[in-house]
Amino acid sequence: MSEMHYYLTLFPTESLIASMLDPDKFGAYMTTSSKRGSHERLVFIELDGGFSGDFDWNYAKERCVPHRNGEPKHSVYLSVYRVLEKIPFSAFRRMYLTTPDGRTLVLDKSDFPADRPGKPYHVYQELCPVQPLVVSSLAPKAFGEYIVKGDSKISLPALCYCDLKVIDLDDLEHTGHIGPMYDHNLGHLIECIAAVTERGKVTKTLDRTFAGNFRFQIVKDGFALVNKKEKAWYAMPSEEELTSKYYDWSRSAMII
Amino acid sequence: MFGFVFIAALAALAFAGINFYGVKRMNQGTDRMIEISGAIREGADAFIRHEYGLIAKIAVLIALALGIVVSWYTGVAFILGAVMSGSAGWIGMKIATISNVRVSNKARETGSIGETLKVAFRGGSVMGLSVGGFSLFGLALIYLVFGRFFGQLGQEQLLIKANWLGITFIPFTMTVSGYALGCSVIAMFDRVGGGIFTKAADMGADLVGKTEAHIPEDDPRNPATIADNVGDNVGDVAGLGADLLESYVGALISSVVLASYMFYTNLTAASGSISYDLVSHLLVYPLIFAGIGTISCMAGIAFLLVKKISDHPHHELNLSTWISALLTLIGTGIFTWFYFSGQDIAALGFRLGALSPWFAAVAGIITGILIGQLAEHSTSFDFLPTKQISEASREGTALNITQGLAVGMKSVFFPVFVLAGAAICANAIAGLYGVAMAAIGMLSFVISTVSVDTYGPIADNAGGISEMSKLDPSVRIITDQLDAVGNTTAAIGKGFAIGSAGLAALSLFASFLYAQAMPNDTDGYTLNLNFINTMTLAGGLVGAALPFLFSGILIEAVAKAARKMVQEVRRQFREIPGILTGEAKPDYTTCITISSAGALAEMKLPALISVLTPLAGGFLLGADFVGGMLIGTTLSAIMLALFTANSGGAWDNAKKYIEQGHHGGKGSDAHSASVVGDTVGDPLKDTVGPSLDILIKIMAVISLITVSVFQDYNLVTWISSLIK
Repeated sequence: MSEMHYYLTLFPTESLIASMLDPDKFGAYMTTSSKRGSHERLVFIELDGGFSGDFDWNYAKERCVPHRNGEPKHSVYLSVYRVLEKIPFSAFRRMYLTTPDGRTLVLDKSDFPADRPGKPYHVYQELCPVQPLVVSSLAPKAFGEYIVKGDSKISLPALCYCDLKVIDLDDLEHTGHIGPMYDHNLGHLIECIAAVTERGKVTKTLDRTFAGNFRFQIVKDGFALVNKKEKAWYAMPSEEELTSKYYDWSRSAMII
Repeated sequence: MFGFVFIAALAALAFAGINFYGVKRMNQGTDRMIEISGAIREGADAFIRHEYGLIAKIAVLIALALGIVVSWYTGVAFILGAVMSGSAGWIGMKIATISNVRVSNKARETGSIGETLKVAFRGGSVMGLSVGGFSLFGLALIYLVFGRFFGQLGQEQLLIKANWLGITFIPFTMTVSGYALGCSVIAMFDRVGGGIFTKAADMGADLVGKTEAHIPEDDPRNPATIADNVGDNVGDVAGLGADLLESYVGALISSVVLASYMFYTNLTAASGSISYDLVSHLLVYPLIFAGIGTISCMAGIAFLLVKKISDHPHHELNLSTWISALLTLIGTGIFTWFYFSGQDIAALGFRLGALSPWFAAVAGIITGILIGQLAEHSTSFDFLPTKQISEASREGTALNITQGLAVGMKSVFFPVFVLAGAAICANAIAGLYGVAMAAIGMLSFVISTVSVDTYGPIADNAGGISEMSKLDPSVRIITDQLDAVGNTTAAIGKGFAIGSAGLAALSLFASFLYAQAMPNDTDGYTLNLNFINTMTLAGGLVGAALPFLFSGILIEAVAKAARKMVQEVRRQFREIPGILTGEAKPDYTTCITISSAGALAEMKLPALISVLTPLAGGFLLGADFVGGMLIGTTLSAIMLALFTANSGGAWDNAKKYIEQGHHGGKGSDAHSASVVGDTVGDPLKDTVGPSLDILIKIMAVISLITVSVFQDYNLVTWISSLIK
């Protein structure tokens, strides 16, 4: 009998799902299911279940059982709205990134990276619960804290986001594999950078929803999750490590 | 002298045999590698079997027609040419499907680029040596059996004779033309069939697997990926080998036919006549020239195989080619000097003494190198034109296509300019015979260029096998590096094929005009084609339009087969759950069958057009019309061949440049645009371009063989006689 798993999907949609599939198969099922043929990228975290009264765990136990032919149950949706904010980060296990062709990379929880000297601005892709592309003067940890603190009108109870690679805007030829990130609205990007570096704005929205163009290849250091009390960081392996240890995934993610 | 030619040809074939078994003895690697390479080999074998079965029937029909209408020896020579060409293509395909897995395994075992290069090149050399060996062996047989045994090279038979239908020709010219036609017809089927197969599979694999399902290149989950790898062998290896063999033979026989007619039409000339001794020299000279080229190439290949190889594949391959070329130049130069010294060569228009034909050949070699370099400039991402296409891709698909068209069109001018210069130069040095020698010179080290060209698809296949067998990424890095070098060398090889076709076509055209000489035209004969003549002009117009019709049919054939492939791959993803998760295996065989059936069904019409058009033109409208048509076809086909080869190559490499991490790299909008550009360019560079030079020569040889029939028997003449 297959084990029951609980998954918090963060991207492209936010939901809590019970499944009898292990993470690899769950990722492949969600992205490549022949019936839907969605070929989406998927970001999800495996959870320890039963952590609070907000979700119907009994419903999951009743419904998430093998099919009559013995096949494991693929997915039972427990919630699809305001999920992340209701989950204690202590329930988080590992994070999984699934490519559109169904290959999954596992990321372990680790400490937030120390701030490093570099460009005076960062670009963030918010993934859950909203999905804008944002330029900010704040380093990854500070950015998350700023968004969930509640001091400004633009605030969220919890947020999952990742920092993105920043290229030399004077050299659009030797970019590396960054996907469509810098293909559109370059002038607006330059204005946003100026807003945070010269005019003192903390954050500036570059694109209200960039989800369709998000690619794993553009992720710089990793994925962050924050709420008012807790923080979690899932570091992205280096390109060398991806090439040597996760070759298939890296090819599918178009990193190599 | 014949002994030397036979020895050279047999030595090349023996060397090919040694390399064949040398590669075959090597370890194939893991079970998975053996399974995948076995599937590729079976697919390629099955296609070639079906293709050759179909070609054999058509070849027998053509041979019978030639035997009845022209002469039995033309029919027999045609079959011999077909067998030689078919054998070279088949052996090349076999060795490619044997080498691919061993190349991959050598990279796995040694981790050395140099050692891996050696295996790939050894495999490629089998194809190169087979092309040189079979073409020369067949020609030597023709000379021995028909020339010596049946006396066609004797003075009493180098005359225009009439056959039972009253058709007049010089017997030996019909024999060698039949041989060349046999090679050309096989080449046309191999190129067109292989081209349709490989591009249908490639497009199916890319358009659905990569674009829709987001599967990386050469991923075993892609149902069309084995067919794609099979296509590399039947198109890029067997097709390429047969193509260059045909070019080589075409260039050689053009000089022979020309020399025969020059001799006959000057038999009773008051001054400047060509002696029998001199024409005997002219008839044998190209063969010995080719024989020296063969021995030189063997030395160049052996040098690379025995030396310690560095990790710079491009440098090593170039070194081998340049050694072959240099030895060919030195050897042929010395030979030419002794061979023509003391001969009265004034009547031939040799202006630089005994070395005149050699200088003409050198002009051809320089032209080939220049055209190759110009092709590289237009198609390599080390240069501006291709980089401009990559850059234009940032602004979308339309501009990628527009810029690619611009690069392709501009790329035509300078190679044609160089070709024109070569024709003028060769003619100035050694008359029309010099033009034929320029084509021969360009292809004199064809064994080396084919070896290098074949190495590319072998390395490409090895990369696919490494990927599908889940070998260590370092193996794929080695095979990718070898493959990248292969792309550049392929562009240069195409330049030689197109350039030589242009020059060979010019001398075949001169032969076509000579072949209209009557039995009493022995006191000098003026070659004359008047473009003010309406019939000639009309022929020129129709001829110029023909390559467009031919190309359109080919592209449509690829598109038709590719659409079926796309539908099949989509069906498999839809109906076979678990392909993407690796729980179910795709049905590779059905994809191979689709490509194969598409190629076999669609290759007949383009091949028939090339054979039937000059016949239809000749029997309806006469020799002037066909003369114009040959000029029109040659001119427009050369332009189109250069345009399609260069634009397709540039689109391909513009995509590769982006895939190396430029302009956003993989997954960017620029990448998506470049993928479309590459897909548009695929049938242009790998199906249309390489087939056009064969079209030129088939039409020229068919016209040459039949002109003496239709110059008297055609509709216009018949109607005119009725009116009178």
